Amino acid sequence: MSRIGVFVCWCGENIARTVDIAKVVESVAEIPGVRCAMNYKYMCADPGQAMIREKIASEKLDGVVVASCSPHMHMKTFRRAAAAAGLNPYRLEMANIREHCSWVHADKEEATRKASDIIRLAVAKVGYDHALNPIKVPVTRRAMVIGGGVAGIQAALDVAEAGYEVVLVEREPSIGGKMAGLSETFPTLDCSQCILTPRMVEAGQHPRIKLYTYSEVESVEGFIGNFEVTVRKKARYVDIDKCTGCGECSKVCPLKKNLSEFDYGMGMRPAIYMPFPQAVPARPVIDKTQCAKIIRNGCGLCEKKCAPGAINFKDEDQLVKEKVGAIVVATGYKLYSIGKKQESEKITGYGEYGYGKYKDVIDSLQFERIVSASGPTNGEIKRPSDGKTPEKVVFIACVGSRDNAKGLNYCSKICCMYTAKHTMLYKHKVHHGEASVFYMDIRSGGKNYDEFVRRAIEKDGAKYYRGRVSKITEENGKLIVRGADTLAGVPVTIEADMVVLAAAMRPADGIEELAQKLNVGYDENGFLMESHPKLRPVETNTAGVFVCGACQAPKDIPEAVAQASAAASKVMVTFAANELTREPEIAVINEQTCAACYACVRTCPYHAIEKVELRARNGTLIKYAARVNQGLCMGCGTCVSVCPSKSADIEGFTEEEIYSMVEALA
Amino acid sequence: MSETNGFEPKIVAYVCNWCTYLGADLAGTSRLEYPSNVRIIRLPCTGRIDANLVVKAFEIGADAVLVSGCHPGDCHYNAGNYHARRRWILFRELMETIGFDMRRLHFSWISAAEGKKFQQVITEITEKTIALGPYNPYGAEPRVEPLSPMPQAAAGACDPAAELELRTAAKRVLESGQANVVIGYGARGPVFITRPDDVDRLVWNANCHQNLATYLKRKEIRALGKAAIVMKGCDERALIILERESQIARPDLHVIGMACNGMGQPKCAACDTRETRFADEKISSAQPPADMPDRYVAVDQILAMEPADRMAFFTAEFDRCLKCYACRQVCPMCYCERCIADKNRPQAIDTSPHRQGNFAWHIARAMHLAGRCVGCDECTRACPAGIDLRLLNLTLARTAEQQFAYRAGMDPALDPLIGTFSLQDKEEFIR
Amino acid sequence: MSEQISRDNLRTLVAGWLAAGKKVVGPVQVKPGMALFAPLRSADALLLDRWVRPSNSIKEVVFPRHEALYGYRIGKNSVELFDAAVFEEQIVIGAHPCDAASLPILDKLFNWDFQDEIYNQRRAGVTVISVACTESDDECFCTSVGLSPSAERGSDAMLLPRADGGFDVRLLSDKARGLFAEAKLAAGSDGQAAYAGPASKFDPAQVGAFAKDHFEDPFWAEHALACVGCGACAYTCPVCHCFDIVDEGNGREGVRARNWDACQYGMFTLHASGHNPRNNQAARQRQRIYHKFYMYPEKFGEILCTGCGNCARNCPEGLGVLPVVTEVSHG
Repeated sequence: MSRIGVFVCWCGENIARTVDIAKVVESVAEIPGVRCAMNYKYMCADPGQAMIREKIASEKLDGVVVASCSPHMHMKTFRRAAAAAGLNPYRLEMANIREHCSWVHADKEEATRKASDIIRLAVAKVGYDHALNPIKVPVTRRAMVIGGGVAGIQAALDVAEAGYEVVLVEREPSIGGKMAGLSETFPTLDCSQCILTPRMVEAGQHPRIKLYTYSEVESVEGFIGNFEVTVRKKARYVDIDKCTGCGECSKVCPLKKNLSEFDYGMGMRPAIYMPFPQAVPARPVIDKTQCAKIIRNGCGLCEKKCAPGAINFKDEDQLVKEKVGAIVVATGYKLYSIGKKQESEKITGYGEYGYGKYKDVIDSLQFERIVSASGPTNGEIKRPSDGKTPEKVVFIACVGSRDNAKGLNYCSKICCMYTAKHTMLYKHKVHHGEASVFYMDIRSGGKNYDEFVRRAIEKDGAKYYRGRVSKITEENGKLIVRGADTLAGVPVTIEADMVVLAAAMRPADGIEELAQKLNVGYDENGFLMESHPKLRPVETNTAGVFVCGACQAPKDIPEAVAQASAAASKVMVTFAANELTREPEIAVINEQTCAACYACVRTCPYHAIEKVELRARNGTLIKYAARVNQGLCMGCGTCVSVCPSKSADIEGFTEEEIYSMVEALA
Repeated sequence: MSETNGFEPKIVAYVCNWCTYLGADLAGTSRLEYPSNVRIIRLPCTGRIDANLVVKAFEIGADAVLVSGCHPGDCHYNAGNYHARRRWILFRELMETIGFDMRRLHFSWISAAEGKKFQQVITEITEKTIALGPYNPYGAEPRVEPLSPMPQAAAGACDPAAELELRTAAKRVLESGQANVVIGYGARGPVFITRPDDVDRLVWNANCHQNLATYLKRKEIRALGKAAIVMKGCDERALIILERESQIARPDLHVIGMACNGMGQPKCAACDTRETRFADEKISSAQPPADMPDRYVAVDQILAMEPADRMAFFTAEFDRCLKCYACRQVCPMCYCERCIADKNRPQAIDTSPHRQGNFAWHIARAMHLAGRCVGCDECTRACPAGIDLRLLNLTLARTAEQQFAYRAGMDPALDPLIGTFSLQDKEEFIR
Repeated sequence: MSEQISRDNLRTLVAGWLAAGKKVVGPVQVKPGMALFAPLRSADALLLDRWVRPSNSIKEVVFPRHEALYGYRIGKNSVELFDAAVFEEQIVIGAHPCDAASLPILDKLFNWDFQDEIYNQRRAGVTVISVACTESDDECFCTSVGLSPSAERGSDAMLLPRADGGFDVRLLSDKARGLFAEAKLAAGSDGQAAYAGPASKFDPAQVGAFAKDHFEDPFWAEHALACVGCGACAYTCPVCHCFDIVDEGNGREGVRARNWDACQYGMFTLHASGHNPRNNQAARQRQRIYHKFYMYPEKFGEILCTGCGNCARNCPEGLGVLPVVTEVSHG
């Protein structure tokens, strides 16, 4: 028989006004197992808590019910009090007789009866409460950041600065990401590379940052505090330790006419190349699809020229394993591929804009390279087809974004701003030129953002047309842009020399595969799912995996950086102790009765249940079973519902506890 | 309440901790008055609220039950409510067929901000329940009135050459060591041939009713070593589920597929799996019946009755239940090491073969087979009390097919029905 | 004996019992091809026209599948107990000799050490009016276990079907005579030779003898392979009598009840420790045969089987006592 203490709170008049406390106390005192039934004006106040502590000690209580307000209000308070008196805090339950009773019922008799019932349920439950202890999970205090753009660099540096090792994995040969290719950034028009490259160098040289460039995440095992990530280091054919970055190899490479990825095809590069001059690491890479030595054992000039002997044509992909305790995903974005075949049938593209057909119809990142001082034109605005300076440039916003008919219904958020920036950059370089913008709405929320757009229109004279472009054709070397000015209610036709399409932001290629490796959810557009849009914006449903930057949703640089620092701080919280402490009210599985159907494994929203083999001491297989990873389980109990034999259960809400409550209503 | 003629309904509300419980808290902090009949049971998530709990609430005398949680997209645990919603769809169909008073079973999404909605929902449920009066689902007068006979299929002719071919195949797999035991049909029932010389004990005739897949779960059979198994097209669907649920390793199993022209069971009339599809070797051939009735005609017949009559019908059916568990034991899908019915801490399902215990058992059994039952009807055939168990299974199979385009054991690539969800799952019954 | 009753008059008699509020149990049709012993709702429901073998037995009138033994209420510092069982007069009509014979066998079990009051009170209220068999099926074997299609053991009355559709009536107890006091009986002799029943199929003594020293024989394992471990055989057997005691309630009040149990269940002998002395189906199948043909005879001097064949008819997998014991008996 249990020794349960019931403590009924008056909450001043809040409960006592409609609930007859004396009657309630009298009725609950009669419940078998109830050792004492007390009441007090304010249980949460010090004397009330003292009464609980005193009774736990004097009556040797093994369970306590506090009948007062919502457990969401004071459960922690009372559990702390119980713990202070030596009672396991999880053997304290609350009966909510205020929010669920005295405040919502006027009739004293009814409220009194209901209050007694509510307490009866809690008494029934507490009789079955297990004494629980917080769960400790060991932590490898070392983080991985996937993606070396501005968000990834920020996160990596923050974590490294806090004193923890970071493994930074970047798919491209250099870190820097999209930002490294930008010209100037809104709303300050400061040079993108001037801000970013020092951070890149810092990351590259940081003693606690281990850099894997030209590498991808192959697989992820483990759970929070204890991940083991396999990284594929792609064959670079250049030994980056031997290489000095002198660049002689690129100079001698005879195959120089390859489209530059960094310039989005606006410029050329050799088959052995450094992606861009400020690359980190400042080491070249050989494109194995282009190199004559690799393809047909020809050439080999770079190898001969390389004084340190860093060229290695026999290089192969390598798999390396890294143990980390937390992972930050910062894989960034790509642009909507406007004219090309789309990966989903739902997305139809914009064939009518002639992208890919007309050389002078380019996307926004291509324009960034054209306008960039480090770009293929050294910052002079020359159009791709003939290198002439375009006199009239049309900018089209929302290409792909907010267009259900074409596929993506979200707003890419940054296009309004960079389009305004583009008109300014153009006008600053081609003073007599004409910049026209077709837009749907101007979304310029942000510090100094709207002022920036106004400047583009009012000071730099960009012409803004609120309307869509229906078609672009080419006639006599001009791009005929037919659109509408819906504010004026007239059709607009512009004979442009160049058209820049503000293509939608999409998550980078391979995001879904990566998400699956990490057990992180993604939305219908492929953006990674945060755990809670407001309260847990950088966490994911997989504990220990955090997100930042444009892989989670379209965002601009300040936002991506802020989110990166937020993710870094979450990593630091994870690393704050050698062990993680987690609430013990989570799932447990009776492995003896588990039939290993793995319905729970399939259902668990947190991928917290794993398949295990139970073996005898001599190694023979006894059976298969499911086991809860205490580091991952959040305690929702969905596994219990799908478990046919109810071998799964949730501590704090066990089957026995729940049924005892229901039966107490009989 | 005074205008109730003294009837104070008992209303049990299972609510999630994060939305509806907090919604009720908000109703409190906002001092929104509502009738005092509801008793709230707090659970972490609607994902935790299963059919057994709802049934238990009715057992303890609830006049109405409310299940409530976070709106879609708001689940504290992301998807618990979606999982719950899918189960409720199936559970409601089952309760509907059995004839429970669906006006007593309520579902809602009430967020932490919807104190007002909580007040409204509770008020309305209470008023409605008072109008309906007290409820005892287990008080129906049993109605012993057989349904109009099920479409009965004549047993088809068995290919005599097939029996010979089967024995040859069995001999071959045993001699070659491909299998240590051939699970097949003998003169009286299932046989387990371990010696090549014994293959003549195998028969193939119109009495090969059993779904032999059920033996794959039995440790006594597993102990015999690698198995070859004789499967009809209908039985084979069980293998697909068993493999999906990690109960068998299909590559370790040699399947001898027998084309079947029907075994004279009700299921045979609408059989579209007369041949196995994934067998390792196939013997003989068979054609689906030319004039195939609707698979679910029996459910339609039941649903044509009034709910109270359905309840009376199932009361008569379940009253005959002895709890011999033949239904469970023959079922290839009932492979739990310890059945929920045998779990006594707590005893969610009364072990006694009384009415309430029998209802609880058959509801739980049907729910556990939702999206898993392959329609072999072995439970119905095995029942010594003649309970028409297939009606429950067919109800859920019909829902699965009509609402989720899912037929258990047909497509090995399909994810299971339970344990998955779609954002598009219907929820017109949830307020 | 020299009285007879027409079928119509028998129905009228039954209708009279029902009208008087008596509980009458007899074979009724529940599904096409399935009859069960069940309380009659009307005399018309009683199957009298042809030989049927109900899928269950009559043991439920004395040993219900579920019965409350007593009720309890837990107070603050006490437990109150209440009698739960209510006893009533029950008339069984249409039992076969293999059904009727089960009651004397069960009597021994429920009285050999502990006098089971609840059983005995039920038993005292039961009158069994049997109908002699005129046919048998492949699973019947009463003649192998010392009974016959017209054996009178356990019956208070025996009705022997006549060619004219009526019955010769043998009243064997005062209870039966009382019930038939109002009956329209006609004088007449036993009109025809009783049906002799199926030829004897095995010798129970030989089964017992084999069992005695073949406990470890691989025979049991081979014959148990098809068993799926349900309780259909035990629950439809007229003499299987194992039960389980359960408490059903809500923590404050409830009943302690007796429910049928079956030795073929995996959990039947499962110890709280996790150890299970009969941890495979072969051991359980063997137990069933041993209990019926070896252990029960050792203790009570007779076998625990009336030859009804229900185990085989109800086994979903074609097992049953008969095929096993026949094989044992024939070596």
